[in-house]
Amino acid sequence: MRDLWDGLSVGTQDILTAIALALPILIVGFVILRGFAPWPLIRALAARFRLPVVLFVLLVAVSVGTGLGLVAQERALRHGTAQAADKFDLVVAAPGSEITMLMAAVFLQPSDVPLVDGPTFAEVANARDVDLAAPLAFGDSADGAPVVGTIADFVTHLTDGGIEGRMWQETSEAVVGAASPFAIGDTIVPAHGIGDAVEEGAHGDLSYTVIGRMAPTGSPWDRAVLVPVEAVWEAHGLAPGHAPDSPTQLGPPFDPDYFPGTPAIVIRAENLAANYGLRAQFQGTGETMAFFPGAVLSQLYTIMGDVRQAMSVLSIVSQLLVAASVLVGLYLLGRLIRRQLALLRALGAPARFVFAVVWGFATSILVTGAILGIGVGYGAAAVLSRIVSERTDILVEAGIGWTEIHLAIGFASAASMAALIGAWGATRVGIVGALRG
Amino acid sequence: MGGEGLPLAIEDLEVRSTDGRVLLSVPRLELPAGGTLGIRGPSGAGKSTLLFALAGLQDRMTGRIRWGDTDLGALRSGPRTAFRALHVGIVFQDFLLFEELGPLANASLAAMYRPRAERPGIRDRARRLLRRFGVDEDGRTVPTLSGGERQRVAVARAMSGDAAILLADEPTANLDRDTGERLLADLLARVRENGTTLVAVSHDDRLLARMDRVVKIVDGQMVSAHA
Ligand SMILES: Nc1ncnc2c1ncn2[C@@H]1O[C@H](COP(=O)(O)OP(=O)(O)O)[C@@H](O)[C@H]1O
Ligand SMILES: [Mg+2]
Repeated sequence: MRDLWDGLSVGTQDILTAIALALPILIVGFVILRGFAPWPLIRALAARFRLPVVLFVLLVAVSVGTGLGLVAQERALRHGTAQAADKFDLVVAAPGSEITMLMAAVFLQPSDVPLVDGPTFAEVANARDVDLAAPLAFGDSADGAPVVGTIADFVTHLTDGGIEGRMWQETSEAVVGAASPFAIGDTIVPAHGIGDAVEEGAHGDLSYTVIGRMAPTGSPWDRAVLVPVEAVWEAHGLAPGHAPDSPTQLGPPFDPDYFPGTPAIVIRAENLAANYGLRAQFQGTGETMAFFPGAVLSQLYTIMGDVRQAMSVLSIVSQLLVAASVLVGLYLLGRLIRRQLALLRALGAPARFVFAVVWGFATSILVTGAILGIGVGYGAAAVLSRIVSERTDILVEAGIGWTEIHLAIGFASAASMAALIGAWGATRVGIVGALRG
Repeated sequence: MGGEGLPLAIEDLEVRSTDGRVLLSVPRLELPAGGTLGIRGPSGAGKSTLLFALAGLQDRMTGRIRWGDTDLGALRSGPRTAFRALHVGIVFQDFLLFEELGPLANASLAAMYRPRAERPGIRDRARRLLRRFGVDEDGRTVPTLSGGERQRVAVARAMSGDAAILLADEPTANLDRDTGERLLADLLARVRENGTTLVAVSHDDRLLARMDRVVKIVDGQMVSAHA
């Protein structure tokens, strides 16, 4: 059975799960409605009490929608951050916090981190299987956007070669991210520091000319200004990375004696397996630490998952409130149509028919609400995603997936089972009392 | 089913209110199959209560109400409902129609829960009755109908199941003289054609005058009967 299930494609599993979740409604509906034609009556009741019905549908849609929106948003956030870290296979840095380094290197969050020195860099760059070893130099900014020094190959790697204009050829040239306000041909004057600690004019009359623009990466790098790492070193009066006899060289190889240090080295290995060898080689050497940003993110997600679980007590309370309000709503609707139901029974409609009318009425409302809820969830997630994307520059695109559809169906199913109780209660009301009332 | 009315026999009927007060007491009352019985009496006397009891709707009831071989009091709620569906048509004092349904849908309401095979028959009869009563069958919902039209739709609904027993609670109240007269004529003609047993509560002397028998109820007691 398990093997059979695992053998199915994911799409098939999703569809089967959706059907299984809908099964209670379908089965109960079939059993209760069989042989009856209550729909014209249900439509008439809905039309008669349209205002409360519409309000109730909206209540369900909003409660389902906010739940779905958050679930979709969380998944989108994981996906977006993972996507942003995708180009960062392996990072080698001086020993310290992996999370701090992850935030600095991948998400360009300013922080004070120790440097890897020249000989160590050379060792990493020359290690077997290393295809790309890129130094990063942080600390400057331009109009609030980070200025990052690196090498041309890394820019090519980051964008898969997608650069409008061209790559830099000298230290005074810069390539900007896809979302940068700077245009090709603009002149950028860098300031020392970033954020609150910025010092304008600290670098004298140093300036860059924008000569290229990267394709979108969906990460904070989209707002960054990328320049040759040599330019950043030069601006800070550090060694230029190369011996004095080759002053115009840009990029590797760097001369260990003239290498001022780098906070992080982004590595791409020749193949996937080599990444593990490299990590083993540079992890915990005393000089360096090495980590997979993707793996650190997964750990973060696990912690977030735990937090979510702690918060789930809260969410259980709120779910119970939603369930309670749905049940109260059903009860009130039952009261509204009490006289009509008594009339049906007085005319000789079997109890199952009255049951079918109440259940069909409630379930129609719940299903309509749940379907609208998927739309509300989509809207909520889209708005949240836009806000998160704007604030973090991490491309977060929430969509409604099978998880949300399963949740919506599950909610409608469970609530319609609860509606059975209400329907049963509705058939217990004294007929004459309700008729006279 | 269809046509032939059922005879009624009541013995020692008592209906009590929730606080134990006797609302209605009928020691003995009989009506032959196809007979017509008028019930009069002041407001609050217990006439509607008697009608509900005859339909098997009254709780807190003792004694016997027999329609033919069926003792309503001995039936559990399911079979009693089934008996009502098969044999009883009711016209309620204040119509009780479904507001958002048209005249035909209201008159043929039973088609929604009766077995599929009976549905066309119910709709046909409802349509014919509405035509005979002069009510446009479709395109309108209850709020656009006049009081007279509503009452006629309610009567058509009570008769569309071809019930052997028709219970009517003040069917001509709320109607002007002419409309009341026409409805009464139609209703009685149908009842006599089919041999339906009719019990009608009314203050309307024209209606009462045409009944086989009239009883008066005052304060829950049957005080007079004349043939
Ligand atoms: N819902 C009710 N609950 C309790 N008593 C009621 C209710 N409706 C009517 N009664 C009582 O039952 C008695 C008979 O009422 P009813 O049968 O409606 O009178 P009629 O139809 O002759 O005007 C009255 O005394 C009234 O107070
Ligand atoms: Mg009355």
